[in-house]
Amino acid sequence: MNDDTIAALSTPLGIAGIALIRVSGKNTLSIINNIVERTPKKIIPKRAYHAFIVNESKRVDECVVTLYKKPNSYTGEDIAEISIHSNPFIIEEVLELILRNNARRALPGEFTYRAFKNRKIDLIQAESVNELINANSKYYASMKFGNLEGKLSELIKKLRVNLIKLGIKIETMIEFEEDQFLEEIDIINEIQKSSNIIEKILLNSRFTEVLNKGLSIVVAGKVNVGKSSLFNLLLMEDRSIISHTPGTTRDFIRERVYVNGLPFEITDVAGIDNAIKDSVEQEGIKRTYEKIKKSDAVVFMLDASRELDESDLKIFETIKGKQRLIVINKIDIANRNILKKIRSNFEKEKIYEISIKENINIDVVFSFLKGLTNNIKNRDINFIVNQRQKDLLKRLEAFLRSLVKMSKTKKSNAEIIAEEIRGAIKIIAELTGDISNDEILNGIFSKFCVGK
Amino acid sequence: MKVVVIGAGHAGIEAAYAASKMGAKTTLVTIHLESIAQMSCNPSIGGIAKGHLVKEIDAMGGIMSRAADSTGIHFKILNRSKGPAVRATRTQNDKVKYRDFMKNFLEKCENLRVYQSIVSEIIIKNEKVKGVRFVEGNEIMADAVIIACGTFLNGKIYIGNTTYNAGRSNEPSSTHLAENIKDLGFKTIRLKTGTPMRLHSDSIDWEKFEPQPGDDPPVPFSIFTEFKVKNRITCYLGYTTPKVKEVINDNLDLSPLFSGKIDGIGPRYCPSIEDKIVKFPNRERHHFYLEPEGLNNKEIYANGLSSSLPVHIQEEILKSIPGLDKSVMMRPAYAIEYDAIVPTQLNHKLESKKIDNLYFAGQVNGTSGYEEAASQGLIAGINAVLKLKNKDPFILRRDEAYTGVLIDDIVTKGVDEPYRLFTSRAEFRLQLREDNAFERVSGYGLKFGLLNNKLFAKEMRKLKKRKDAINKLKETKLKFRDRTYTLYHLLKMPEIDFDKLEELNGSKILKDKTFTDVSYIEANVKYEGYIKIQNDEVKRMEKLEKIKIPEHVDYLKIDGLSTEVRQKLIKNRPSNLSDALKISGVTPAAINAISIYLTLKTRSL
Repeated sequence: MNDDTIAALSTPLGIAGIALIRVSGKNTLSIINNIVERTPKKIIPKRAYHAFIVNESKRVDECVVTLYKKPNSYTGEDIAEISIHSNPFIIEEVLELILRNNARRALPGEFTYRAFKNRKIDLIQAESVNELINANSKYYASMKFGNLEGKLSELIKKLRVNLIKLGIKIETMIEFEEDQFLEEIDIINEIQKSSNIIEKILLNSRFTEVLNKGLSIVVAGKVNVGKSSLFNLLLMEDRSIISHTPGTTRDFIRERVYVNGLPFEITDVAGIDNAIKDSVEQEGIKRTYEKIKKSDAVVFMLDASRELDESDLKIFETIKGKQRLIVINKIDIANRNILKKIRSNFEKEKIYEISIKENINIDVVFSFLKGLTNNIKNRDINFIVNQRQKDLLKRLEAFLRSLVKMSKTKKSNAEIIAEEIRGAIKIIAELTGDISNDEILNGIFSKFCVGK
Repeated sequence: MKVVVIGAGHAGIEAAYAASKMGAKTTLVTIHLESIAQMSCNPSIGGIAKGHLVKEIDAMGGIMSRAADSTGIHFKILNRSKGPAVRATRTQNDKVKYRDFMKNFLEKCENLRVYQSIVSEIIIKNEKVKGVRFVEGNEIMADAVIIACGTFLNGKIYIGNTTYNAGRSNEPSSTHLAENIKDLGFKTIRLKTGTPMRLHSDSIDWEKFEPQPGDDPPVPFSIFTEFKVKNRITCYLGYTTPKVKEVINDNLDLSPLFSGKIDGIGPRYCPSIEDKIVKFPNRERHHFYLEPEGLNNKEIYANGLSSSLPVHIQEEILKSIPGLDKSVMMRPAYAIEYDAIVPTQLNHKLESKKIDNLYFAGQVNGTSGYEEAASQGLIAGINAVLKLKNKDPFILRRDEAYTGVLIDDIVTKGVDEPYRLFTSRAEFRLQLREDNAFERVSGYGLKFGLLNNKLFAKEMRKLKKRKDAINKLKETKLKFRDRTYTLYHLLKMPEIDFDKLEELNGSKILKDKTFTDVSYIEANVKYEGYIKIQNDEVKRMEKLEKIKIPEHVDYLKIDGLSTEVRQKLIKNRPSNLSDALKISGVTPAAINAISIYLTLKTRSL
């Protein structure tokens, strides 16, 4: 069954220019020969060829096809990647053609599973593929790529070597009754180092959720202060990439924005006007305050052309203690007295004067957003771990801590240290997939989309 | 029920004794009656992992332990300062007395006949054992045959350039039986082992060596032993010198090991002195022990000075060691090469997979060591009779006994060098200890009639005493470093052992405590957490065992297996995932590949 040639759509169904169908297995070449019409006939691996998909001499679609010959391919088998127009009917027709030529639809994650079992990638790398695809930020993506390149695997493998070295010394001590043990202080220090790195990875992994979902920023201020303009500015600014996630309530508009490769969820809250007694509006205002409370940071906008009022003060109360940027907008039409009053009122705060309309000083907003992410971009750790890995790493770290502690105690029991080493090595094997509970293995691969 | 055991070495003795005690009419055949229970190598029983085996043999009712105590002249517990799991008993024995003890013991056994002759052929009919034939032409009919001929199959001795056929120095090798075994279709592997020179005690300057006295008080091996055992000798520790290194390096071409004359694969763990010099070129010295071989002779065993170099080079080596420079050799060191059968041809009962009721036990299976041999002999003997009685076989699990680990290792993974048991081979090392050997396997001894009720009851009382003590620890509290702890909790701390605990307690916790009592209690307290984790492991292993691999599974269809793993699986045809994992080279990843294949197959049905 696992001998079959598999095929699937590798790009998401939907409105897009191109659809990519991937075929992997021993019948790949014959399939291509049967359904692709081109001249010259011979196809050289890793080159893209413009051609046509034909069904009994009838042209179905234009295509670009690339061949990869085993073992130099993603799965380690012969692979063909066929790009066609992303039209659901055409896609289905082409797939049908392929299947008729001795292939079957791939199961979810089957391509990556084949890559794994052909030893092209280990388990950590395999998981990274899925996460890479789903990664929401450039930064997260680069970290996940770090995993794919095996950086986490490298660290773990190095740790394993040290553990085995130490294990050998301990076993020798036991079997041959030797007592010189403290010579092994180097190995213990190496293991301590690995333990520290893993601790850092775990601390850092707190941020992975943030990196994936994005920091939530609320743009708050009274009605007509210019929030929507700021919002639009952020969305249109070509330093950021926009992805549309329409807001669900009429009180908020929420957009995802990428600044410096990191995602932010920016919410433009309804203008707060305490004067309005409408109960629906009041309800909306209540929700606004809640949103502000839950956010990671706030951009508080004031109006340089209007007097401070209750709403401003109320909002300021709400944002006390939060990471915030306070800006005074409309500085181009500012009233000097009002400015003075605002400054004296928020004496202890740092306040920036900007004009969105006239493009004055708007950089402060971008700097602020970038600044929020600086403590996340820890240069030391350049890989991220998922939940499965996190759990295993936590257990591993516990073993290592215990191991180092025991190795440093004089009256240590060698056979107990040996058990800790065995335990740690087992966990490492689970991490890289050399031992794994096959339910987990199945679980990992079935989460993949078909075509991956 | 008639059983024939071929070979009266350590394996053959246990097999013959067990079979006869379980009611079979047993004949123990030996080439040489005077060499029954011959200790061909070091004059000692036990050691790390080996002592564990002896305690298990003892708890199951075998006899090696009793012989060790009766003829022991030096008793020591190794790894005393380390944890209970790795503490091991070792005795130095009087070789002559050991042989006498065993011969006398066997001669007195009911149902057992000891017979001197050379077996030329196993009589087989329809893939079943029928009996044995001797070189003289006579035959003995038998329902089961246990082959325990040690290093005698095509044995060849090497001393430098001299070689001659022998099963042991000056004893003829067995060629007829060796040929017969090959003719029956058994695959063999050529192995080698070595033994060091023996020196005359009076020619050694003992002042130059470090005395290694026995324990005070000495602790016996066997629960059968009612007398007090005594230390009668001291062993001595010495070191080789840089000159020794020079001598060996200058003459390596004369060593058959290095000149390539010996094809056999030798043990890595019992290397000859030239092996050690070559493998550890940076070491200036290697240690060795001088062990007296008996009370009434002057032979001293030079433990650590195994060699296959020519005699005159051996003499030069001795001259280069202060204290041995005037020593006189009584026997030179030599290496022996022999046929062993590939043990994967046996099942867990040590019965051959091809021929019913034909068993193999001991060094002939590629193991090294008296204790390894004796455990196999015991298991083979018990199983031979159980099968004839139509009862369920006796197979010890890896979490039950080192005997289980040993047999499982050799029949599932095979051997590529003489197999020696180490504690690190056991995943369940913390549970397999000398102090709980009785708890683990005595039930079997009782069941098969090898252990008598009275002794069993006596030991059970001791066990109860220990368990009661542990419960008492949980109930008694003490103040320690400004906090209150139970004694149990205190004992868990690495810096506190049982003696220290009694000190802190101010009064004795256990009356007349023995070494075993202390080890047992310490182990159960200190290892508790780890043992719990390991029990989960056992359950996981049992789960794997439950996943059966259908007989006609086509391994060629399963992807994700390397060619060599595939070949091994096809060859071995494991019946479940647990057995598959035990095959050498089969990784957990391969198990996953098989498991997923089986799952997908059932899904697609």
